[in-house]
Amino acid sequence: MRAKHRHALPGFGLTLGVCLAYLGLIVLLPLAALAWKSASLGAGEFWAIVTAPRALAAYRVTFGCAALAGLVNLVFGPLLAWVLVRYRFPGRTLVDALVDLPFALPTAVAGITLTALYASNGPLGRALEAHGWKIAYTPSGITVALVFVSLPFLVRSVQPVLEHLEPDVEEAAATLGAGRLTTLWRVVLPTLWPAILSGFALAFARALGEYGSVIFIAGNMPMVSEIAPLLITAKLDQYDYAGATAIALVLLAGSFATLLALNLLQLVTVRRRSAGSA
Amino acid sequence: MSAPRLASNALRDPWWLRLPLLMLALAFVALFLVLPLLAVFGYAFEKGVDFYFASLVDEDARAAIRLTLLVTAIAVPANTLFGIAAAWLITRFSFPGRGLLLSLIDLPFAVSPVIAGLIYVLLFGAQGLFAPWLAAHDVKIIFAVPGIVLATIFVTFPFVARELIPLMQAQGSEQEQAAITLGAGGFAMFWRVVLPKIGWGLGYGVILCNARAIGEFGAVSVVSGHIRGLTNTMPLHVEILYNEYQRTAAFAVASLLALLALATLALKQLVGWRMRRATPADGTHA
Amino acid sequence: MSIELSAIEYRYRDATALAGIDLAIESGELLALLGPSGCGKTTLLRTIAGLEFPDRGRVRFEGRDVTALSARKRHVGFVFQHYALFNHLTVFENVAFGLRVRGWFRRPRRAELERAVSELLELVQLGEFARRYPAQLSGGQRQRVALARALAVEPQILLLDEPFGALDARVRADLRRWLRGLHDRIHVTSVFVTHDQEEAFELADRIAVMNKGRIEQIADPETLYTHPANPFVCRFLGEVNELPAALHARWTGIDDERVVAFVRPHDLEFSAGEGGARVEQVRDLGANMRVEVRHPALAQPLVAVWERSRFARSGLAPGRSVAVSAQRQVLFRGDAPVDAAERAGNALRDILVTHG
Ligand SMILES: Nc1ncnc2c1ncn2[C@@H]1O[C@H](COP(=O)(O)OP(=O)(O)OP(=O)(O)O)[C@@H](O)[C@H]1O
Ligand SMILES: [Mg+2]
Repeated sequence: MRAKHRHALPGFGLTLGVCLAYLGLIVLLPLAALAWKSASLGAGEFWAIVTAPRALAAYRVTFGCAALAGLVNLVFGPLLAWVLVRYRFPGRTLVDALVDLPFALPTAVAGITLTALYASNGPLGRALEAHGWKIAYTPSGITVALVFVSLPFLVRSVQPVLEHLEPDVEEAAATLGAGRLTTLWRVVLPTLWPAILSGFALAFARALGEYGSVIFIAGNMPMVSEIAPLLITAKLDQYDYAGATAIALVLLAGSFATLLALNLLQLVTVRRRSAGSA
Repeated sequence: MSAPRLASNALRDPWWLRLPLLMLALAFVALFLVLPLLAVFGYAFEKGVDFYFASLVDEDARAAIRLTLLVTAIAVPANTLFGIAAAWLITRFSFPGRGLLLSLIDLPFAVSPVIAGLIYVLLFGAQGLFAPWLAAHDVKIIFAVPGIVLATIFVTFPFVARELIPLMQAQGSEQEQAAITLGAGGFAMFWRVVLPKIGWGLGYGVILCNARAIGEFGAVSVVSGHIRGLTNTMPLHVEILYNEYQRTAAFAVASLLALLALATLALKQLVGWRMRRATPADGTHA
Repeated sequence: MSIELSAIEYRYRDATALAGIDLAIESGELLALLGPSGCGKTTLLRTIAGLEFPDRGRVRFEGRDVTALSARKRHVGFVFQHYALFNHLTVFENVAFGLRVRGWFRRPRRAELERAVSELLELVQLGEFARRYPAQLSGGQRQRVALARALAVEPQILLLDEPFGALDARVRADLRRWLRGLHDRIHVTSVFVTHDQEEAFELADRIAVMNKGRIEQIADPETLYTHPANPFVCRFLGEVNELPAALHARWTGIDDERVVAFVRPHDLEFSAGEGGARVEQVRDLGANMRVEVRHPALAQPLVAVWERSRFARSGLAPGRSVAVSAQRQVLFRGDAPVDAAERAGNALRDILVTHG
């Protein structure tokens, strides 16, 4: 008899059972339904649905706005992280806590608030439209909402790296005569890239699927300002389950590809780091 | 985390760099975070205090609040139990398929809430896989409370597990092993050793899970059917009011949710602070 | 309670930690597991405790097979290397833990429990610290709490994993003596892990020297030191000079030059004169002097450690030519010791250096 399959700590069977049952019921079974439904579509039919002009326009809006919002936060996320970690100013703790607001605030609340602010009768909307820039009910509005929801991802992935940055590298750069800007650009920023990119990927993946904060401000005009998640609900409202499933699969593929790319990136940087220290 | 040494001159940005960066960052925060937060309360009270409270005690609003509390009261404890079980399984045992399990736990983060709702519609909806069986037994899941609970559980189940797994990994299992060699059974070990050890981290995860469960919109919206007084949660009620041009009433209910969000942020800050303070006292684990 | 391990094998996914361990520990014995880092000491100890389950082999307590028994049911006291104290419990509650988690019928009454815990705290001299938390104790105090906690359940077997590993030298020495005294009083079968040979020698009745998942030798300290089973054991027990030597058979007159003489630094003798060797360096170690001598035929310098007075009498100084000899040595041919019978029939003709 091999005793090896015993564990020193109790609870293996119980927790394994709980996890498998829970995951099976909550995740695997429903996802299997997704596969089942899409299998009921023929390949040609599937292709026709996912490449319909309205669907293509929806991908363009979804991926485009998500990328744009990610780029905005690519600048402001690390900036905010830097200010929070390195500067001392009154209200710093408050700002630090507020960064998580988009995580904590229900997306519908964010959605109606941003809409009210940026609509043409809202305070910001009025001011911007005076300069000929219409935000609400256009892709710009979608981008604004996505900037809001994805901001914490970038701040929170860069912040811990900055906190644990060894000061000696910067000090060394300073003693070598580098100016502060040069040091930031050539010494600090390169060490932050992996964190920035992983934050970007998480933000992008989240923005692809975002629904609540976007639909109010988007205007939801097919071909112009309709996002893919909304297209799914639109198809569901018409009881077009197969169509909804097909679009959902494309959207899922987008998120998975993003997260897969992120994992690969992390693998590469981990490997490079450990090779560097060896 | 405490700030790194700020004393060193080499780490200080000169004022001509500090000032603009600080201003830019604060302006961004003001525009994107502070202003929306204030706007929620501003719009909520734009027709005065009486109207505000009238909106909250409205029949449908009260039903929505009750439903949200009910759903949260089911989803959060369920996910807490699952989170503890999953964290124990993943950090205390090695077994084939562990990595796969870990990625399955993360899965809901990669799935759009709308899709989370859709998959349950495909299973339990009128044309769903189980539709015949459900019809035969007169069980309603979609456009009813069970569907809302399921969808909420789906989108919130990673939170507790995600918080506990790194924590328990870092803490190691020596105290648990010590408890076992002292004759403790699984139950005694859990109550007397594991739970006190993970307490703050668990609280942190529960807070996040709770916030998301209360505020979930997309997934719930797909499975709810928006039946007033029956299947409307608070966020859905906000949507309906807003779409019916009852903006002030919508913001009144929204302000409750915003208050909950603020409470969540405060609690999160507090628990995070306690957790960081508790960690060095563990001493034995680097 | 006696412990008997037979043919224990244990593999981690990518490493063999135990490669066939046979070990019998008598009741009441204090045994040291000594070996270099990574040789499997902790794994072996955990196997005895039931915290790991071996791939092959049996564990018996007092003849009873406990191989498949869980740690909970083995009633073994285990002291972890980093103590694993319950940080959220006071010292008192840490020690009381094992009593509180007993089954309802075997649980002591309150007064009884308090008396038992207080007695134990007195035993480990921590009576006044009962209300403190582990974070408020020094390393040595934590160590003693861990010990008291393990003893509270009155184990028949006590296992300690590098019990003094995390302490500084002074505390270590004190605690070591104290533990020996404790063992002499309570006589619980004890196994402790260490990679410090001095600690093993001072404390243990017997020492098992481990290497790469095997036991190289198990013996009392005296035997281990005077009759190491192989070069590994000899080297592991402290600094040693390895000198090529020749064994001269009296009857046949043939020299066997495959033997190596292992000579401890304080057994090495230098006498002034032309021996081909030259004093290279002298270091003051405080109580002793360390002399390094270079011989052209050897890659490594020879090292002698002498008391100051002996060094002063010898009149050695750097640069002096010397002849080398040994007061005492252990001979190995390959991995096998040259045994006493063979030594009697042969003469150790020369240690290489003297005829160099
Ligand atoms: N969890 C593990 N996974 C894989 N290999 C392990 C694990 N634990 C130990 N090992 C390997 O098993 C071997 C024996 O380890 P063990 O901890 O028993 O050594 P040790 O003698 O106690 O060492 P030390 O003196 O450093 O504590 C080592 O080669 C080690 O690398
Ligand atoms: Mg060890």
